Amino acid sequence: MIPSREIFFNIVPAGVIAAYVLMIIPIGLLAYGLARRVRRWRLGQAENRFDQMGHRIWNMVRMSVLHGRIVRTRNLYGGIMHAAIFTGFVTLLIGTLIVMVETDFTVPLLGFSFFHGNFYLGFKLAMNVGGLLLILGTSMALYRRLVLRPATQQTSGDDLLLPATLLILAVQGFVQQALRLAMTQDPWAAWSFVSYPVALALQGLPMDVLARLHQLNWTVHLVTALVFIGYIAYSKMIHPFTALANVLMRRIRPRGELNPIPNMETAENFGASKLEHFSWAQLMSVDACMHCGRCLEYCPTFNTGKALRPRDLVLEIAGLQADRGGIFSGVLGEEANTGRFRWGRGGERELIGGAVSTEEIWDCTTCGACMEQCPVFIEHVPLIVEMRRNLVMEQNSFPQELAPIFTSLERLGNPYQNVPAERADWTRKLEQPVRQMSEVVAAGETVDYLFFVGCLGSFVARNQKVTLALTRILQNAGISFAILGKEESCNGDPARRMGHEFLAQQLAMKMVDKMNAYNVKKVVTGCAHCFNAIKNEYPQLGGNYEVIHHTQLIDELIAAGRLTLNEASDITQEKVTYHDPCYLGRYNGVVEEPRRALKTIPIVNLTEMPRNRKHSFCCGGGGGKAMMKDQSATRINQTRAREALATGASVVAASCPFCMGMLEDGIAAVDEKSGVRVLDIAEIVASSLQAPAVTAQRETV
Amino acid sequence: MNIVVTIKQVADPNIPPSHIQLDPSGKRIVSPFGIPPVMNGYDANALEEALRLKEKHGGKVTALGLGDDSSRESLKRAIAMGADTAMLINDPDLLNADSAGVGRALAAAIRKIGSFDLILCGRQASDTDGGQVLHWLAEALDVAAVTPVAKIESDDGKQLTVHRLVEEGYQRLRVELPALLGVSSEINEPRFPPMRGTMAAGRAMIPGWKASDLGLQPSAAKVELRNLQIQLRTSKAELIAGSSPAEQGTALADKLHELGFI
Repeated sequence: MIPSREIFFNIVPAGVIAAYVLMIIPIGLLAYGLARRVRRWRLGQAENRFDQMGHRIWNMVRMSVLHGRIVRTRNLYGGIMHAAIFTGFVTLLIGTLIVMVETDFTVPLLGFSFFHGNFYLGFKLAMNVGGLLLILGTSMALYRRLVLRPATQQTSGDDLLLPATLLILAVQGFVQQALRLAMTQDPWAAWSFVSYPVALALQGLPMDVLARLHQLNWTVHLVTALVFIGYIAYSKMIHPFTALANVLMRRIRPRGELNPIPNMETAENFGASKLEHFSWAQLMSVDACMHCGRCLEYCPTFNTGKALRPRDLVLEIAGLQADRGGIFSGVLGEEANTGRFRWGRGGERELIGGAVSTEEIWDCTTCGACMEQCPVFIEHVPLIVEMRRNLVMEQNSFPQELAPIFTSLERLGNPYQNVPAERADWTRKLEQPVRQMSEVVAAGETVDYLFFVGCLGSFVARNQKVTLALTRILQNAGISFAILGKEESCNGDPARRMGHEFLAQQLAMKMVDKMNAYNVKKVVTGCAHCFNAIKNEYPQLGGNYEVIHHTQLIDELIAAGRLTLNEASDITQEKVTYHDPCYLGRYNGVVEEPRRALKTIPIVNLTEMPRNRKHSFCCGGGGGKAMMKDQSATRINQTRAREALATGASVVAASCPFCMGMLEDGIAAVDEKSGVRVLDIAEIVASSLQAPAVTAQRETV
Repeated sequence: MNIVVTIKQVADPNIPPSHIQLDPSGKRIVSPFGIPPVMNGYDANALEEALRLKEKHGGKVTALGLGDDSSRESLKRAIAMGADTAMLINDPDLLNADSAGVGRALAAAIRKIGSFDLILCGRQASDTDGGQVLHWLAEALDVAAVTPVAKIESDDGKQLTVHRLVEEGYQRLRVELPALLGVSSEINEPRFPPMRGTMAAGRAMIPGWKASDLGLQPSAAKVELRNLQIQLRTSKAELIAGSSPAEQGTALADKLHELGFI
């Protein structure tokens, strides 16, 4: 006898017909819901996301089937949970489709049957494994939502309903199989290793009871499945469609690059105050969120109790979009997720001040922790910057402490009202002079590097020490370099991330013109923000340079043996912990170079904070936040300072002037007497150099 | 309500004293590298008040300046903030005029602009701190002048009730329109120019008028600025040593006595 089974066993023909007819309704609902969403996305602005399709497709496979970002060491529970549900669900879906192909296609149309023999046995086995995985995964989901309840998750009806429905469907499937096995005395029953024991238990029941139960369970299973399919497009269960689409269509520019506003003079609108102002891809991205809460895990504002919670921001925009689309969005989703946004209500709300509060918009440090975490590549920071752009440039509305900052940037080219003529005054403290680009070019000479000092490194006393240390390192290693001196001004990063794109472009354009006029090829920066802007954003304005952060250069110089470190045996080691600047580590992936440099310094005993590298915790100073007041109870910089102090390190190593200021203030506020110092890697290296010009600086460490 | 606001462009008052430089004539402050001149602060207050009145009553705000061509920058800022139009009297012969000459030139320009209900001036300019031009202007236009004004309490389109600063308090004055007010900084916080305004200002044309356009007869200045003098204050710090607070206190007292302060 060839192993197989009767399809639609024990089901009356009317039931079979009803199943096929009823299926039209949920599939129609799914198609309608999807079409409504696509139509809403199309209201957005144009944006080209159709380049590099090969790369996009491979990335999509990597991030979905292969669970690239879903399973991560920091997110093992959720990762395994998703992998189980995904594998189980997809296996069962494929199984169902196989039966459908046999019954409705190959047999009636081609007279060809394949649902038997070894294939059938393997099928039974696979379906049991799939069902078991689905039960495991959905149980994990429910256990996490109901028992573990991590702080990053807020649970709505949908968050429980969807895994519960999948769990019920899987159980119904096994029950169905067990009842059939019990009725038919199937000789291959053992292949169904989950249903078989159940079938053995059921065998004692009278045959007509089994038959009735079999029909009843079949009907309930069918109805459950149909309702579930119908609900997909109106709940987060849409994510297999939207998440795949978003991962496929994600922005594949450097993450540290914000999209510019082209042709500012003729632009009809700046930024986003309505859904239609976002690009279609941005509108699509918010529909991909399935409330996992990973964006919150090391979000500085969520972890310090501020208004901005990136997941909520995305859901607020998605909710507004659902309202505007006028679609039924799921009654059970109503108390959804945030307590602040409601599906299916309030379509007349404004985007800014209605769906999203201005407080949320200004809270963001643009650190990118949310984007690094999001398994479906939603880009929160650009959404926020679009709304900031609208507030600043259309509504002239921003935290009042920013007015003098903007004015100073515009008039003086630096944020803190420093005198432009004093920009290069720090060079007077050097033993060996530094050349200026203007002199170099006037003399008809060239240098290898432009050292872009940055405003803080030029003007702020504490940061000047870092600039001096770095300069001495460059001189010590015999690097040929020059500075712009008085001709340097702010690179535009703070203005840009505060939403003042016009000012940012003005500042950046000035620097690009200058650097191009001097034929600059390579730039070394002492600041993570200058580094990111010049490297990733200047190409938008015609400024193409090889940009290197000072920690990278120091690492290179040490590796090349161009810096001789003091290796005297009597050196006492200091415990040092390194804080990754967001715009260096997370945005640009420079995490190993600074560590490698530190590890080669004999006095350094490197220790890590729990949140490090790309998963570092922001100092609180990015996105212009260093220039805004933080009046909340828990400060971001103090939270990070506590983490640093907890390592027991006596030195916190920094590599960005904003981080340095934020961390010094944070440490002073948390524990004034700790004696823990914040030192830039350049200072630590300079103090360890074995060279007469620099040993005098030993006291800085 | 049609309002004319007089705008003077001055060297940035926040220039650190060590960076203040004079031109060869010794009569003018030269803006140092990278610190462009600004709209006089009190004039910005006057403009802000004018814009608020306009927002309430409608009408037109005209910014009027007198200076060299570079003064257009401040008038552009006035447009960026919300002024409807701006004109500049940029006759080289008038650049060295005294307060009376400037007042008369502004009056002639205002007559050329046409009817007005109110003239708002800064109470004084931060470069000369003279505070006289507005009186000469009021005199030439034959309107009442009240200065320094810290608040416009009420206005009904025909008359204003204003607070005029006096020592230890203020006077409440009722003043018939048209009138001229010298505005003090207590009155408001000037707005940050909106971006759309800044872009519009970049495209704005600001006409320049010569003395002949205004029908002004040349007249000799009765007060002449001979030269400016910068006085730099230096400061130095000395740490008082001592092993105990009491000892340090004694040392401090001795030092102050030695210097003749006590």
